[in-house]
Formats: sequence, structure tokens, C-alpha cells
Amino acid sequence: MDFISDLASPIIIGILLGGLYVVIALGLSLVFGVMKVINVAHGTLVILGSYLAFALLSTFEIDPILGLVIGIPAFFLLGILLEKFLLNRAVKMSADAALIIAFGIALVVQNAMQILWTPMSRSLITDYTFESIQIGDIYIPLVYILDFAAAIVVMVVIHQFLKRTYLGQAITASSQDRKTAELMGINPNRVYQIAFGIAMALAVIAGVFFGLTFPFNPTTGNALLIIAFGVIILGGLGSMVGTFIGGVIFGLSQTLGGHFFGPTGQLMVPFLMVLVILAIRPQGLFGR
Amino acid sequence: MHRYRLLILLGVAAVVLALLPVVGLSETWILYLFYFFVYLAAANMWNLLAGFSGLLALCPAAFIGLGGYTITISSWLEVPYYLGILAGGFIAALFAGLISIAVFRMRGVYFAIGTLVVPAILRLVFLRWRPVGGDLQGGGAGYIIKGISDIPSEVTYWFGLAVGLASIVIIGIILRSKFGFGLAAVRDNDVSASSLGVDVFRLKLSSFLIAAFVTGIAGAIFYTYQGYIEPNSSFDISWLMIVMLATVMGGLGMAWGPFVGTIIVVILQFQLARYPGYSMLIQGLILIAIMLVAPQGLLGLVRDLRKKGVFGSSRRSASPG
Amino acid sequence: MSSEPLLHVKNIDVRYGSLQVVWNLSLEVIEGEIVAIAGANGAGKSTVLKTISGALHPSNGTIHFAGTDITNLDPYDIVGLGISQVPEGRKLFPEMTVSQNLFIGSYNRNARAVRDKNLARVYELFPALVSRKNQLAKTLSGGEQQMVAIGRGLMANPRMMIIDEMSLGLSPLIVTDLFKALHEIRARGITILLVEQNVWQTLHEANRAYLIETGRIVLSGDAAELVEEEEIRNAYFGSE
Repeated sequence: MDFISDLASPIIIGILLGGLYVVIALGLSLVFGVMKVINVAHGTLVILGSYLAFALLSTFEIDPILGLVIGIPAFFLLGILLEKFLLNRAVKMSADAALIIAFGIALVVQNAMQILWTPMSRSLITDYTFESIQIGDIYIPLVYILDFAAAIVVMVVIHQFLKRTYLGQAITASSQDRKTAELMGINPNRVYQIAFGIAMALAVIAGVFFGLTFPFNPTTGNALLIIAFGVIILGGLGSMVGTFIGGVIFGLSQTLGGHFFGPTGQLMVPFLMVLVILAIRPQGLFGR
Repeated sequence: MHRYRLLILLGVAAVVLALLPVVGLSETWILYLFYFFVYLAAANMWNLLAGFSGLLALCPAAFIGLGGYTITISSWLEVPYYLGILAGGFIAALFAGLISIAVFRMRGVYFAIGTLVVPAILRLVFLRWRPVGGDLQGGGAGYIIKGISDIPSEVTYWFGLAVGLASIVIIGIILRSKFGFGLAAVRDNDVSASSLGVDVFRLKLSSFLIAAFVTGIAGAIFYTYQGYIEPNSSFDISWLMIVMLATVMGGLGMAWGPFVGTIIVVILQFQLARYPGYSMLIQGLILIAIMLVAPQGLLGLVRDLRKKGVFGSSRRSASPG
Repeated sequence: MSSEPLLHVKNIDVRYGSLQVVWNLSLEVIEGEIVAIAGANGAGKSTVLKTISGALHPSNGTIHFAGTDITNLDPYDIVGLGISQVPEGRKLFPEMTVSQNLFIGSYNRNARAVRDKNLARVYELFPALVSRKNQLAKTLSGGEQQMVAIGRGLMANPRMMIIDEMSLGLSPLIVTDLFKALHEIRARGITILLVEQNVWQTLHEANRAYLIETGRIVLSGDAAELVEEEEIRNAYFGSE
């Protein structure tokens, strides 16, 4: 009995954490689906969001979640600019070229963050950072619940956007058949820009909630990229449900990995899972 | 360049370079050259993979780190260092062979991310694993290489020189061989290459193993100089950045690309060494700029300009009278 | 009716890289017609079509639509001017439903305001689609897919529709039904440009036709007259 109740906490937290990973993965998935390119800078850009929230918090004492009012439009714009001036040409050159440029971006952002904020670990500390909710014997930190709530909101909004708006359907169509989408009057460059802008908006949201949950440093993005990639591969592209399940599975792998194997297990288990999934079934559980 | 002329040139260069510390070249310059040749070896091998074999392998840090840990562990096991260095190559190649079972099932971007995960996993492994005894003062996951002070610095330099020059020779041999022709076919389109009877898998695996071996040796030599190893830097993504930048700047898929690129990388690193972070930041900006402006690299640019006759045309223009 | 053709292709050469595939080709489509470009596989029909729709650009010559020069426009800009294309192979968005495919057909600005009206017309034209509204496009039969593809083309509110290889892979019965629909579409004032391998059936349905061979127009004129031509009967109907 003890063994089970011992597991209850990591399981619940793992599921909640999964929500956070879904938000991170959605941005990556959107860009991959439309542009067929893995933005290897995505993890680092998420952490950029964390650092900007940190800057707002420490300089102006703005709550990170409230700070999203500034962060989301700012990152959206940044995404459009990045796509328009850097990635667009790279994508047209080749998949490898896009990968390399994304690496360049990751390198620049990582080191800029290191210069501005030092390699030290940072955290977003607010009044509610250390609050917990008690359910029976289990204490669940409030931030995990916020993470999950944010994930639900994001998933619903993105889902509705993709399914019910012209732009959203244009993005969906482009990711299934770009050439035919053009015949509908859909300008692929605009689609890429909007998709990337949305991906960046998702990144800053993810960054804020991540920063509230975990300490971060300039290199944290690398691990996030690997996990996010694992989530979208496991869940299969184009499936919101799949991405959600993928996120939850990876969240669980992290908390249970840490529970059984200590702090190293927290990253080791998810990483090994990514490797195994890539080797065995890259189309994922729900993919086409 | 004709095969024998190149070899003679390399031989002469080798002798000259080897004599430099003996004739009293400053320590700083010896260091520059050491870094240059070690990076060159790693970059040439990355070019072999990404430029010639169509394998965008993001795991060079894995081979470097394994090479480094091998020499470290063997130093604690009282193995002579030159054997340890050799072992570094073998261990890295062995590891490459093992992961190829998983990694070669992946294509394209999946292969890229799959190989990206590998050094990340190794880093975690070596954070925990202490295969030989002895603690660093103050704990932590690092190791000193035992007996490092017994190795004269010229010897380390010569090893670095050797692996760098060897990498040039190896690339040269490969490109002129049947293996090289097979690779060229594979790089462009491995589906049609395999329908022509080219054993795609074996070619790619061979490249992978060779690259791992040489990179492993380069890593072992690097850490012999460094004298100290710890998992965060030995498996760090910055190794990938260095070889990628060097190769892309010089010209991906061109035999002398890494050579040209490594010169620039080493100059940048040393000039900016005083400003940590700026060096990598600027290198990142250069990488982006190169991909946008001249993705074929400097040598590629020269080649393209030559074709257009910018450097004086060997073609005769069809002009009247 | 204006005497100026709605679509005027003038002396175009089209190349794939350095290989020329279309030679000094001209054709016209007058508003309200059904015009066919017929020819064997590989004759250059699709190339001409892609050039008109903007996926390819001619190295020489011009293309005008309703007086506007569209020679070098991108495909996504041409739709808004009034040309919609029903591509070869249907090319429906596989993971989208019938109604979603139709919806996205009205993406261009001019089509959005009249979306509901056009949607009603599509279902009127193809009642079989009503019960399949929420079915994924990839699960439809070939004939049903073609109906959706044509419907999607209509949702763009075009003045002219270009239909590429409509009959490919479909039984003659279904093709006849589709041609009936095309006539109804034409009756509503939409001009149709057809590209077809199926020369026989097409010549019986179109007003005028161009016969294309290795990138050149070899014959053109009234479809009814062309059917009678001895050469054509021999060249194309021998294998029917």
C-alpha cells in the first residue's frame, strides 16, 4: 500500500507536468508540420521567455503570468521577424540549411542570455511559487496545477483556431499539401510567418510557466528541445490528443524516473525514451 | 592537387610544424597550432559525415568525450598514455557501432535529433559514474588525468599535429577511393544509389566508424593536454558548434572546407577568449550569416566565382574578331 | 459578350531547367465556353496548365486573364483574380473533411463573402456529398473526391475553372455525370478550361478544343468538327 501511495505524488505531478510539455511541444509541432523543419532553437527560445519574465520580475516586479500580456505579442512579432528574415530562405534551400540556421539562432540566444544573466541558475519566485494544495496525504505544488491549467487553455485556443478560422485551416491545409494550398490562394510565406509567430507565442507562455516551476539556466533549452521532440514524435504529428498524451507520458517518465533513479533519472529516462522511440516507431502512437 | 605532390607537401609541413617547439616558437603559438590541429581533425570527420555521407550527425561531442574519458580512465589504470589515446579512438568507434543499431534506423531530421540525444545521455551517465577511484578536491564529477605532468608538452603537441594531419590524409584517401565514389552517390540520393547496387548501409556505417575513431583520438589528445575532464564540458554541444561552424564556414562537402574554417574558428576563439560567451555568440552570428549569404562556404564561394570567371577566365569568350 | 478572350495565352515557351517542353504555344478561351486541351500522356498539357495557374513561368510569351497580365504571378495571387484550379489527382487535403475542404476553397478574399451561397450550390450540384460532409477526404472514392475537388474549385467564386485530368481513374459513367455537372456550372456563367487525356469523351462535351502534341498545338477548332477529322480518329480513337 505504501508503495502505491508513494507513487501517487510523482504520478499526479507527472501528469500535470505533461501539460507543460504539451505547450512546449505544440510550438515545435506547428512549425514542423507546416515548414517540415525542426526548429532546434525552440527549447532555447522557451528559456528566453523565462529570462524575459525574470527580467520583468526582478526589474519591475511584474508577475510573470501578467507579464505575458507584453510577452505574447512581443514573441509573436519576434517569430514573424525570425521567419521572414532568417528561416524563410533557409527552408527554401534545404532541410539541413534550416537546421543549421536554427542552430545558429540557438547559439546566439544562449550566449546572449549567458552574457546578460550569467550561467547561474535562475528561478521565477512569486508569492505563490511555494504554495501547495493538499489532497489527502499528497501535497501538490500550486505551480504544477497552473501549468496544467495553462496547457488546457492553450490547447483549446489553438485547437479552435486551427479548426474554425480561415488562417488556422490555411495552416492545416499547408501542412498537408503546400502546393495545393497555394491553389486555394494561400500564400505559403504568410502561413510560415504566422505559424512561427504562434510557435513563439507558445514558447513564451511555456517559458513563463516553466520558469515558475523549475530553475533554469542558458543551456536548459537543450534538454527541453529533446523532450519536446520526443513528445511530438510519440504523439504523432497533427494530433492534438496525441501531443497531449505524449506530453503526459514524458511528464510521467520524468517524475517516475526521478522517483526510481534519483535526480539523474529525471532526464535520463526521458532521453532514453526519445532514442528508443526514434529507433522503433518514429511515426508515433497516433501519427499517420 | 596531384596525389604525390600533396603528400610531399604534407610531409614537409609535418616536419616543419613538428620542429617548431624545438626551435623555440612561443608557447602561445604552439597552443594555437595544437587547438587548430585537434579541431581540424574533428571538423574533417564531421565533414566526412555531414558533407560527404549525408549524415547530419549531431553527436561529435560523444566521441570527443568518450575519447577523453578513455584516456583518463586508462591513465588511472596505469596504461601508457599513447595506448590510452589509441584506445580512445577504439572506444569511440565501438560506441558508434553500438548506437548505429538504433541510430541508423532513423532518417533525416530524426537521425539528427537522435544523434543529438546521445551526448546528452552520456553527460548524464558520466555525472554519476565513477569507474575509477580518486576524488577531485572538492568533489564533483571531474577527473584529473593521472601522470599528466610526466608527458612533455611537445609530445602532446606532436600528437595533436599527427591527428590533424592524419585527418587530412584520411579524407584525401577516402575521396580518391571507390569508397569515396560510393559516398558521393549516397549523399545525393541514397534511394537511387542503393538501387544501383551501392551498399548504402555499409558505406554510411564505415564513415560513421571512421569519424568516431578519429574524433575519439582527437578528444583523447585534447584532454591529454587539458589534464582534467568533467562531463559538462566534454559532452557539451559547443563541440558540435565548433565543428559545424568550421566546416560550414569553409565549405560543407569540400575537402579543404574544414581546414579554412578551422583557421577562422581558432582565430576567433583566441581573440575573444577574454570575453566568455561573446566568442560563441559571434560564431553563432557568423554561422547564420554564412548560411544566408554564402551557404556553400568560403571555398564554395571561391569555386562559384571562379566558374563565373571572376578570377580571370580560362574559358575563351566567343567574341568576334 | 466581349470579343476579347477571357484567357489569352500568347506564344509561350516553357522550360524545365534547360529542357524546353512547350513551344510557342498560343490559345484562347472566350467567356462562357467549355474549352478542352486534349492530348496523349506527356504531350505537355499539364505543363501548360501549371503555367497558366502560376506554378510555372514561361521563358517567353505572355498570359492575360480578363485583361490583366498574369504571366509571372504566383499561384496564390491568381486565384483572387478569378481563376480556380481543380488539380490533377484531385489533391484534396487528406486529413480534412469534405466540408473543411470546401471551406478552405473559399479562402481568397473575393470568395469569403459569398461562401454560404456557393456552398449551397455545391451541395445542389453534388447531393451525394451532403451525407459525407464530415467524412475525411482520404476515405472517399475517386468519383466522390472529384466532386469535392470541383466543389472546392467552385468555392473560390471563379470566373474560370481549370480542370486537370478530371476523368483520370474514373469509370465512364461517373465521368458522364461529372460532365453533366460541368454543363450546369457553365450555365451559371463560369468558363471552363479542361485538360484531358480522354480525347473522345472530351470532344463530345466541349465547345472548342486544342490538340497538343510534344508541347505544340497541332490542331484546334470547334470540337464537333474535330471529332470528324480523319487524322484524329486514327490517332486517338484507334485505341478506344
